[in-house]
Amino acid sequence: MPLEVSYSKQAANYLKNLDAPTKRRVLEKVAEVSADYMDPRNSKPLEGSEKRSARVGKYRILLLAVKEKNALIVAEIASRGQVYRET
Amino acid sequence: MEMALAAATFIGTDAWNADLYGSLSISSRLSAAIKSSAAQLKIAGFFWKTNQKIESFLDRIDSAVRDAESAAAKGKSKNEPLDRVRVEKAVNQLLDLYLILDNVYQHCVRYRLNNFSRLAGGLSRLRRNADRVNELAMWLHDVLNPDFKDAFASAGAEFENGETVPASEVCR
Repeated sequence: MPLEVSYSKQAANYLKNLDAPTKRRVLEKVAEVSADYMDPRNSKPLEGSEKRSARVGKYRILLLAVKEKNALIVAEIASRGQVYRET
Repeated sequence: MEMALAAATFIGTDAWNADLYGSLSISSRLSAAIKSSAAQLKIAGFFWKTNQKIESFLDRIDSAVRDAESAAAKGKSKNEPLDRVRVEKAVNQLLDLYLILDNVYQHCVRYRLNNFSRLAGGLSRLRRNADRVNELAMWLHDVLNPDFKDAFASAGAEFENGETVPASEVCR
């Protein structure tokens, strides 16, 4: 059963200001994660299984799964740009 | 973190280097000569082969992450310490691979290979695979450099206080 999605204030505001195609892609990604949040193709674990990250282009989406309440919280959406070689 | 270590184990192995970089260099060389129908078919074949190899490696990594996560959830985790050097090396190798894939893609688009129907599908698949590689590198980088703790804490508090925004309001 898909988790019920809600958004932090930051994530909701950030999403509001995205252009329509990017917003649609983010919403699609969140829907995929809510359907099976432990599928590493959709999101990857950061700390334990509950704190996860997903990416849509240059945007990083932080997701918090609260399994006992059947909830998925979109904690943060932010532009992270690219990571470059550190050496 | 074991999930990151499980992923890093696959990256940079001899098989990874020989298979992926070998096929990519061939793709790059061929992308310059694309006049005849036969050449197009040949390049489409190389795109297919390259995409298959990348997807196979990425699927194996996803599977290793899933297994490590399941083991941790069942309390059967090996509790191996995070090997920063190994994971950093994996990040760099993934970024190298991403840059090569991106370079091949940009090169092909510059020469308008995406206008050839035989090649367009393989090229856009290459773009998607490059994004998957970049995504993997960014995830490993985030595991090594956690800058997300405050965001999770604040979102968790908002949820507990009933202050989060329902999806139905955001999707409008």
